[in-house]
Amino acid sequence: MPQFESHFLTPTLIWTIISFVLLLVLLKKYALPGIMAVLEERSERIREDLEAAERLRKAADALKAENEAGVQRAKVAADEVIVKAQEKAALLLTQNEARMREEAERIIADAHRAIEQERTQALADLRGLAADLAVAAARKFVAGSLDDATRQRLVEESLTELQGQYRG
Amino acid sequence: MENPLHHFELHNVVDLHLGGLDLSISQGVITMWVVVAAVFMLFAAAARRRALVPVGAQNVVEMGVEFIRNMAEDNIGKAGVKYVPFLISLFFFVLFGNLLGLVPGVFTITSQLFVTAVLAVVVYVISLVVGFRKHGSHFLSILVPGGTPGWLIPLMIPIEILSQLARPISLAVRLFANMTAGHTILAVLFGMTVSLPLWAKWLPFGFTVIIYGLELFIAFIQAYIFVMLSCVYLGDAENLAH
Repeated sequence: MPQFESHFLTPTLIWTIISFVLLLVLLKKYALPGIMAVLEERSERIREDLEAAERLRKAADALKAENEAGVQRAKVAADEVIVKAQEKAALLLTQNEARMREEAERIIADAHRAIEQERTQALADLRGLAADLAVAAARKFVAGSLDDATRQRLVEESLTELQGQYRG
Repeated sequence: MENPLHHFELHNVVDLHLGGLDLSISQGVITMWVVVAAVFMLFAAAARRRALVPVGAQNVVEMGVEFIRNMAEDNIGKAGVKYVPFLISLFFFVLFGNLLGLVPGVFTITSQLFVTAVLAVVVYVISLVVGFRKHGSHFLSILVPGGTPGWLIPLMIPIEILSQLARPISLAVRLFANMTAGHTILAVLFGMTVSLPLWAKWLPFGFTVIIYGLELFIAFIQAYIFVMLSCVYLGDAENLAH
């Protein structure tokens, strides 16, 4: 095989070493530091970004929890307001009812009193009327012997007179 | 038909002798320079860009660098970081050697046993130096795997010495043989395409295209395996198991 021709051994060996070492030195000196720095910077950046994202997520979680607590507090407060309003309404209703009942009772009592007064008045009037009637009738009877028709007429007249008196 | 091994032959372009040392420049050496220049240009382009969101050359290079760095960290551990430049150079040198060889007319440096052997021996020597410097003579315990019963030690030591010696040899031969075999198949198939009558040409030509695709894949795989095994050997030296 051509690869085993020994007179190429020395130059190939030496030039391979020289070429390889040259490549190693060139890369190490001019290229790799920059590339490594970029790689480091990138992984640093990614780590920072991840950490920042984690921080933001935690902050968002805290904010969310806070909001939820706020909503909960507002709900509790609203419930309290509603309960208070209901209690107040019930109280007002009760008070109103009591007042209305009192009012009604007072009106009824007034009415009773007025009716009683009217009745008393009417009885007194009636009593006066009866007395007047008796007096008038007696006067007519005393006046003489009158036939029945005349008596009847006289009573009618007295009644009419009395009626006229009371109406007037 | 042309000899399918013909394109593995080296030819001196410039005869150069310095103090009895043969430094003649063959087309293989020139290809090596092209490889070095191509890799460096790619990396320089990537290093110049420095965008936070990589595109183009920067993306390719960063992917390769990350890939090698992870490989080093997985196989060597924390100490692997200091080998990353070496491993990156090794990976891209082999990869570009493999890939450039697939360009028709370009010489395949990784099909030269002398080239792959130099790289393999460099890797192995580094692993030995690291091992002895870090663990001293205790590094020799690598020849006795953990849990070996005492009476087996006389047997294990020669076996482990052989397995240690096989490391650079297998590393060198694997890459060289893969590249040589692939290119020989391509040369044979293409030779058939040229020499067969018109009605039969399509068959070897079709296979040439398929094998070419396979060779592109193998170019990456072999570069990966070469660097992966280098990581394993360096890892053995860094983290002596017992």
